[in-house]
Amino acid sequence: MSKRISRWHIFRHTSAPYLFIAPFIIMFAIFYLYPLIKSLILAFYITVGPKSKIFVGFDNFRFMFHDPDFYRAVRNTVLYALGSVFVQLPVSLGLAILLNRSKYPGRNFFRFSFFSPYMFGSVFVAVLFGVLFVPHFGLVNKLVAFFYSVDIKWLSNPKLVLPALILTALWLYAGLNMIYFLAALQSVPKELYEAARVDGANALHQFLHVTWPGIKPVAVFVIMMSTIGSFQLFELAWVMLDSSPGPDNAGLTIIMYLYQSGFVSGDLGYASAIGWVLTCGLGIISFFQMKVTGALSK
Amino acid sequence: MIIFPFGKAPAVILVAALLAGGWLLLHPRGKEDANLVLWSFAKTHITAYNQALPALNHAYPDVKLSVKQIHFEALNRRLLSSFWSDLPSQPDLVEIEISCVGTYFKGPKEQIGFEDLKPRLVESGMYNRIVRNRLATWSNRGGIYGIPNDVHPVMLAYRRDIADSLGICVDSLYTWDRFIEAGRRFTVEGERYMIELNEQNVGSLECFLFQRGGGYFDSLGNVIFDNPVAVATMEWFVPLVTGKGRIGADLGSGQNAAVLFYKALEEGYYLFFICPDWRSSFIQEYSPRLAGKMALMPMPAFYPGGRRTSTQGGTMMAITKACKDKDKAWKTALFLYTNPEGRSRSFKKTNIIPPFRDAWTEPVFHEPNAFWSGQKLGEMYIGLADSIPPQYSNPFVVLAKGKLSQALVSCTQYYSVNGSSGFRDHIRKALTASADEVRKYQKRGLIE
Amino acid sequence: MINRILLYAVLSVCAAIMLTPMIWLLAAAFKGNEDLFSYLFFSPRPTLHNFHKLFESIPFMRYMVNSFFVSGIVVMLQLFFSSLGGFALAKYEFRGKKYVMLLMLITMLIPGQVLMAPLYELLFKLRLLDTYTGLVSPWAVSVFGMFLFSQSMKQIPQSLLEAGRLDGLSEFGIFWNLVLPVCRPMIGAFCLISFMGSWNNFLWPQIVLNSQEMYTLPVGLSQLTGLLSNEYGALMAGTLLAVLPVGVLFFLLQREFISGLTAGAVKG
Repeated sequence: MSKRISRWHIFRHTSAPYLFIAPFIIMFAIFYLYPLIKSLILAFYITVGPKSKIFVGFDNFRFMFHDPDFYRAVRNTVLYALGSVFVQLPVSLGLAILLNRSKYPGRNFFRFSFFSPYMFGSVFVAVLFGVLFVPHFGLVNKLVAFFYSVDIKWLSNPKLVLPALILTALWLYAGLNMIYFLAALQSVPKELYEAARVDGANALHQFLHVTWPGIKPVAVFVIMMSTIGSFQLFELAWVMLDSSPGPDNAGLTIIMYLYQSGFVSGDLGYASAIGWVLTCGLGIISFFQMKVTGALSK
Repeated sequence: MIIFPFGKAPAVILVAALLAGGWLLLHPRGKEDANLVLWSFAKTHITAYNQALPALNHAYPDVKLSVKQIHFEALNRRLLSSFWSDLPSQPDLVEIEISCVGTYFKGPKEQIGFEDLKPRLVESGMYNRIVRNRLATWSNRGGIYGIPNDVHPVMLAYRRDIADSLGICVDSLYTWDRFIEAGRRFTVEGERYMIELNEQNVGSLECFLFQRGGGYFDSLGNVIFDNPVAVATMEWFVPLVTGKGRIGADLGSGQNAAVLFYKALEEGYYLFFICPDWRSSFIQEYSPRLAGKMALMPMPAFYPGGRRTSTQGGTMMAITKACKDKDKAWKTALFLYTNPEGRSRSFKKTNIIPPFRDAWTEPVFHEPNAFWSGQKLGEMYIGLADSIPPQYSNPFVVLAKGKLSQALVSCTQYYSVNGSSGFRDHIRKALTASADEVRKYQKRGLIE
Repeated sequence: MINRILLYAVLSVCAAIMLTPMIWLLAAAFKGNEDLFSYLFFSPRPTLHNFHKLFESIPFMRYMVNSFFVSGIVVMLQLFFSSLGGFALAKYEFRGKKYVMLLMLITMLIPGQVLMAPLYELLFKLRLLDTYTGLVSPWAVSVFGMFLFSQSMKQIPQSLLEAGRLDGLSEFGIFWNLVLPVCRPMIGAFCLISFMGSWNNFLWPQIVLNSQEMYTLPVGLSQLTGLLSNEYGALMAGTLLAVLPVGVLFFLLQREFISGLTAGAVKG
């Protein structure tokens, strides 16, 4: 009797993980793996909606690499990503360092206020900033006018579209990244700072030799995540520019290019091809980032 | 036994979801009593149609029309995706704008989601009553897929009060040369400009291109926006908006620029602007303060005796193939577009003159308009209606617009740096490069 | 002391920059149209006109309810599937576990947009376009969530599970009654992440949905710009109302949220 129970017990124990993970795997296979494989196939077709398609071989890729709009989209997206990484992350790190000082009154308030823009979704931020950037009457221009009397056409001047987007993203994401840095900073042992101070290291030295090594893994993670996130820029630009790529395609991003060809013009095949090129590009960039930052060697 | 182990936060979310689900169950979607649904993107049209509803109900008691306003971009995306994927959520009647209609003609002919109205147009005699150049736009592979709503001739609107005080005699501005010469005299850089023109957006440029008989595509679908007419138009246009001696001010484009446009008009920042019939009603609605201070004049011609108008925008009313009662849809569409009473109400609201020649004699089109300094607005536009240039639709019009705007930006940049030296060559190069991009798309296996 | 004053000055300036747009939004929602751009922030004549205008031009409440429904269902599905899968990965050894882990890692690097076109085609074939099911089902599993849960469940002592087995609990019973309650902080964090993701999701509903009655808030609101030309006040009122639910949730779950977000980064 007891033997049977324990065998039943063992069976239950060994079958349990399969049963537990099965629902996940099934959903994953239907809505992730299948489309993934399917998109590889679709990338070699031209379609008009899901009903009619013709096989074109590598033509989608050939066409893409000869399309100046594609390069425009890549250029815009890369510039935006650079803006995110090199403007947003230093700001985030700076805020985190300021907050990381020993406890002082109001610290939680500041942390909350820096972080709270993140609760706005990008569509709502886009709607809000679309109005804030209105020429002449908008809040941004009114504040600018305090210092410098000029009327800036943020969203209709091709040269200013990307800066406007980067500024908006700075507002939206700086707090989020700050939280990551803050957590990393707090995990650096206090004794290391003590030791550095005893050795007579100044603030810069402390940062370079104690802080930076301590937060490096997190920094690499944050850099990679913001790069990947930036390359997926779509709704912020799309909604802010009133459902368009902006003047002279100044706000055209890779995903917008994909959306327009796939879901506005109906070419799901070409959209898949764009998606795969983006994936490969991101893979290469992530690889290099890991290589440069030495994350791979660990 | 724990019934819900996830804790408080998920419990709250779950309750919210269940409540929302329950509410949705109690409010099943759109059980309307309407038996005909019309989608439109144009606010002014919708106001006019809603006002026409009682008359419609009176004329056709069996029609219960529901008019819905849908965001321009969303309307096209939703409708296209319905056509491509056989979705049931389609309207019976829909208004489609000129710049996007081409996209609907992509792919096999039987996949076009609109009913071919040519038989009905011919049978009802409407075919011969409509300005012929207006039917071209809505035709594809032998079918006509909608009833034109408008002709949209273009005039110049201006601040009459300021023009009078400056001593500008608009009658003498019958060619662009004269207009520009006057513009140079009256433009004060940074304070006042002769005319509002888009510098980056092709809106203004294409208007002039059409006026000169150019365009994006010819009637056979060939790309023509790099032909000599286009080069000459570009060479003429760019100095108007760039560099020293410019007479045009750009107020940006997009939704948010609209506020600025009316504000600047009221401040007298610019004197003239391109004004198709539909735009004149917008001025009336959004700048009521300018009543009596505005007036209209035909566009100056490019040479004495040349065409003094152009065309901008346009809408058709289409019937979807999914519509269950096409006769009902057809008579409703005709009623909305041709019923004299409705048309006169609609004209008072929108200032849009109809494309039906026989309607032009109706008295409403010959009434003076107080806002426009007592001018007979309808009559003026009607006088130009027969000379509007044709606009051909094409699946690649949206692309071509984007490409032309890129060429425009490149040309303005070149001109602001180098002036006129080598300008024509640069224009030629930029336009050819842009046009070739469109040709490349055309060549890429279109599914027919 | 000077240091401290400087610190507060810098922090206050930063906080002001971060909070200004929100305060402006709050002010704008209650400003009449003619006051909107005349007063920098609050107008002396607050009005509810914008909200009236908003409710009469679009079925805003319906969008709101749709958003609650869809986001709520997505959170529940993700929570259940991810925690169950994460539990299996954290506390059991089984064949193929390594491959599952590897597969998940790889897919996390692939941007979701690659899948959109074939997913659209799949939903077309399944006749799920323009349905709530089609809207929700592709988001039912979250690879990120499973990682989060497997990380945090690894720290649960094996003895707790053994004790449960001795008490005669089934394996699922152990998960349900013993493991999940221990993971509550992580659950709170994940809930908020997943709720925000789904509440703010724009592209997918924009593609899948066709009937206006099913629109979620981001899709509905993004179209207001075209429908209410020159009605910025109503637009701002809508934005304010749309952000509010997330704001409340966010305020309540702040602490868990931050610890949950950082757990993945710092430990991984």
